[in-house]
Amino acid sequence: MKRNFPLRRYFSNIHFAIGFYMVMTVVSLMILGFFYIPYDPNAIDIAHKLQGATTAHILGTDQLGRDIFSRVLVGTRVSLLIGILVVGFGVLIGTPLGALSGYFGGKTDEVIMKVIDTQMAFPGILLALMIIAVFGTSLQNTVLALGLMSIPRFTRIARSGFMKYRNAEFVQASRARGASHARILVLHILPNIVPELLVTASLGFASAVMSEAGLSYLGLGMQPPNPSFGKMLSEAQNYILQAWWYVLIPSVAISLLVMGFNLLGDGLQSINQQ
Amino acid sequence: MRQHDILVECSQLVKEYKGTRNKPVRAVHDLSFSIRQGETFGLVGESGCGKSTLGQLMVRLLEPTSGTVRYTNFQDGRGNRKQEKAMRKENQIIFQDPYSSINPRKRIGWLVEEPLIIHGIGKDAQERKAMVCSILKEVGLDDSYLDRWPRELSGGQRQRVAIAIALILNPSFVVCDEVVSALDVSVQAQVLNLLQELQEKFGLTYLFISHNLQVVSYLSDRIGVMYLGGLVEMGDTEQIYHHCLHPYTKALFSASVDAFDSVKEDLLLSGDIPSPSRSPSGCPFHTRCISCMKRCIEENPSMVEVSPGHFCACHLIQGMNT
Repeated sequence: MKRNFPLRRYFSNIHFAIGFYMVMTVVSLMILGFFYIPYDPNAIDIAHKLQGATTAHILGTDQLGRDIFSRVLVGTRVSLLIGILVVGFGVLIGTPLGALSGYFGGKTDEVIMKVIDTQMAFPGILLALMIIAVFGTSLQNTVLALGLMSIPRFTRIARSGFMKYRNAEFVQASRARGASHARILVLHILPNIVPELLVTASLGFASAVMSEAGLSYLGLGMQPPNPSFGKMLSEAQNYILQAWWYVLIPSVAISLLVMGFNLLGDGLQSINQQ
Repeated sequence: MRQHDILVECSQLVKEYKGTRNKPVRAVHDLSFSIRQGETFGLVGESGCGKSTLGQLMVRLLEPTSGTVRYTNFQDGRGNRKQEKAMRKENQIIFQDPYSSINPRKRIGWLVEEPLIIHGIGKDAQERKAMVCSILKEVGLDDSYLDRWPRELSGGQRQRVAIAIALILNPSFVVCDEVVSALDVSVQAQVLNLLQELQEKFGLTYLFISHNLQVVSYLSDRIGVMYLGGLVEMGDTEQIYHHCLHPYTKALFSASVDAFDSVKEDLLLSGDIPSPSRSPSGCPFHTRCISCMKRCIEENPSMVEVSPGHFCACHLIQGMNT
């Protein structure tokens, strides 16, 4: 009966609403791409290179005559997939570590946090470069590198959350009833810190998209000819004077995703604090 | 008093916390008493005297530094998972603040059902649901609460839910830690009456912790008065009411608004309760006692049975007797 009430609360937050629509724009492009792609995104057509918007190519063509709209449709998949995998990686490994650390404290906490702090001391992109240099460029290695980078933030958030609740009265009460540590961790405390984890996930998603674009721009992410926003950007910058729209399109797509998820995270955070 | 009547027995219970600069804070200090089957034992004392620590020790939420808590109707659960779980089933605690003692992110039905799942009671979800409904009915709530969130409930309703959660396992011993202090006065009475009804119905034994003398004397069969981690006086409610002996108990009664007519001397205490990390020498109460003697500063009085069942730790009384 009051089911739609929480949603209304979310959308009355301007940051959340704007972020949500920005992200949804990109997501709907991706969904469109599953059903309809006007051209093969890797089909080369030198005769029609660097064209502006026409009825045949609504976002024009690139230096090899490939249809930019088709490449954007496919490129969103890469960005979103990497974002999801990286955030998933961070949540699945970072949250349990933080939970154990915050809940049990003492020696457990010290060992886990020392490891996490050591990892945080590495500049993120350097770590990613190292992993890719060692293991080579591929989607898996990009996800691995960015995933490792995203673990500490989840560990820290989860740790502070579990620490806050480990001696809460309702936790004490369930302990007195005989609840096991696992039950308390997963069923009692975790639901209470999901909102904070969502904020972190949203911000983490934004930075994963950004880092992936950065790596691809440097030629260390997705390999040509597969489309990705970072790669498109680095190719487009050579033609910025002849085809300004070619630079603009991947930039707008990256901005939509990064700003969208950042706003979404900010919005969630201020909703949590209400 | 027959021996088998005793349900829980504490002997020489000590709980120390690590204080600053390795100076231990003695929250509970050398405390011995027992609670009989089916009675309500009231525990009164100022804030910070160790009442809640004692309550948590008695349901094993805290481990005592030394001394023992012994239950007569089941095995000591330490070190044995199965026995510990059995102990957790028999002992329950209800906390002061129903806003923080209930998980805000779970529905009422889930919360009340959980203890059954933990202890593997009930064949299937349907049987458990029937049990949940019946206990909710006992505490004055109906089936419509099953799907509600804690935030939709008032303080009194939440405390009823907390009581339902504590009682669904059919425990024998329940620690009520300031259960009505956070509630409105009108709701307090309802909850107290409910606790009393449930006690009669299920044969419960309560340890009722409160700083409110009226509340304690309304419910309790016996009362213990705590000061700075130790008991200073203990006896039947009647004895404590009308013939209290310890100067601290007298002061408590005279300070309580609208107290009982038999004690009407103005015995307002000055000063605060001393820090448990720096307990005074001799009688812990001598720093604030109006009839402090030289002996009180040097020697800690022991509990003496003044009349049958009435114990008091004070040199004044012992002086009179000898």
